[in-house]
Amino acid sequence: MNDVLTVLALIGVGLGALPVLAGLAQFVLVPAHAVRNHYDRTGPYLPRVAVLVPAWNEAAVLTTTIERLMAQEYPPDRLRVVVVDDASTDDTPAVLAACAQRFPGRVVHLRRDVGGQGKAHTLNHGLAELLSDDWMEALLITDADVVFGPSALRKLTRHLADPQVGAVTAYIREGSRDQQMLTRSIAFDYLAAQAASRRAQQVAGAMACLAGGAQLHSRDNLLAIGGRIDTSSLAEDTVTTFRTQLAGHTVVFEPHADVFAEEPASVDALWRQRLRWARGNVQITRMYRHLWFRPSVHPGLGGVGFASFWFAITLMPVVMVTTSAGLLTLFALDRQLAGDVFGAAAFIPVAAFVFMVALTLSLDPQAARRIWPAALLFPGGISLAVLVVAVVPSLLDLTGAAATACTLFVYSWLALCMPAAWAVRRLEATWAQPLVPVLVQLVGFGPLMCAITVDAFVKEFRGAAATWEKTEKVGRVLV
Amino acid sequence: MSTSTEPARTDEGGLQYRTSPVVQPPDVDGELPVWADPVALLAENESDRSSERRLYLGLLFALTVTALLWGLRLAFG
Repeated sequence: MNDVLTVLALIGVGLGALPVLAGLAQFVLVPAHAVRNHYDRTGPYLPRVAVLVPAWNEAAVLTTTIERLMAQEYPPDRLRVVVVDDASTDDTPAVLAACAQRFPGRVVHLRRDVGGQGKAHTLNHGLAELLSDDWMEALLITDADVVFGPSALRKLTRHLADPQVGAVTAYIREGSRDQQMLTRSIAFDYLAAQAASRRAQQVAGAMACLAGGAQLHSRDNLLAIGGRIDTSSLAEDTVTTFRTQLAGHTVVFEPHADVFAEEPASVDALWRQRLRWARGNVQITRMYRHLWFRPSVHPGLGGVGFASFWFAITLMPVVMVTTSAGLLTLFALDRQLAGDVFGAAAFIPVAAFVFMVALTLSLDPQAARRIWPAALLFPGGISLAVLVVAVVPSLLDLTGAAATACTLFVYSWLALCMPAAWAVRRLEATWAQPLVPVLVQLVGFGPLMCAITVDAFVKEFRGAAATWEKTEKVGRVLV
Repeated sequence: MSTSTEPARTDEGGLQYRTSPVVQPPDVDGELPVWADPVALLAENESDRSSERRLYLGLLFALTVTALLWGLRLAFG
């Protein structure tokens, strides 16, 4: 019986290596983007671009966004901004009227009488209008708070010179002028998930997601995917990305277009935003169940590599629990074996983490100078301490009950960090709110994301209402 | 190809490209804006393409840091 339990426990611990290996495999591909990129197939292509901006109560940010779009170094007669006002109740209509007056014929205000159905419905309102005539040759979908650098648009359109390309996306940087530790963590997350990961996905030939705030489509592609944005999931941008590739078009990542966005500054706002994304991913996992591990359906999206990457993220919480349970079981059965397994296995994730952080920071040296502490603390201060001791065990020389308690805590923390992250969010609404920034760094941004994924699974399987919760933006992007 | 897009051109290698109408240079003194200067657009493209080679330096940096960690473990582990 003990032998069976030992084997099961070892399997549980071994599962923990899978997301590490999947992540490492992806990051090893990043440097290959130096030679395997799309620049050889670009050209000086300057189509007529409509910029579609969905907006609900965005008066605080719209003026800056529109001004920056109008300041694009792009032929003025080939650029229009269409803002779909989703029945805003603030000053959005007045702000848009002022912008339309400043930029006659180039800023268009569409208003929905009944709003609140979510971003996809708002986008479809504008899309139907834009596809009803031939003016638009390409469509840039963005958000009301996203600010584009002067050369960004033409750096995106150049990829559409290749008729095979259906859509292009950019690396959106966290752009708050009043950066704090949480927004620095988000900045690092974006650097890893966009600047690094999307380069790797481009090399591998399948893109997971067009950034919701910076996606440029050719008109052909919009027609190929049905002329509408999917409204059945909370991750409409990922569905659009999948549909584009399943329609036979390619999706390109452009790392050199400067795009900035305002990100949540509180744990609760971040939780609500990421819960929407995570629930969307759970929905997509089910929606495209015919696709996973089936290269015959699509060589890229159905490939083993892409599926490994996808499930490494969506199933990360499960793996963390099995690893923790495996270590605790081994500890109960054979303390020495548990210690040996942990000691032998710990260096692999530590080395992988250090490699990935170093490579990620090297992609944006300017941002790296500000966000490297957040990068190091991404797994959390507690996990970081555990990892350091795992690499250099002589740093902590405990004996007796203290050693047992410490070992049990270390083995449990991989699973406990997720409820701890949930607790930090709850504390934000209490007297302990001032402690939350420190607690987030102790628990870690990574575990916070895993806890949100668990919440997404729970809400999805309970059939909780899939409401679109808007992330409040107040205009903190540095211009 | 959409009806509103100019016909695709084909390069020497037989590859097709979408094209847009020639832009009318704005009436400005001095330097043309980048978008009105095809040579500047190509240079910008080449510059971005070349800068991707920095990824090799990033790889070297990441490998060095990881190797240092390995050395640290050997020395103190």
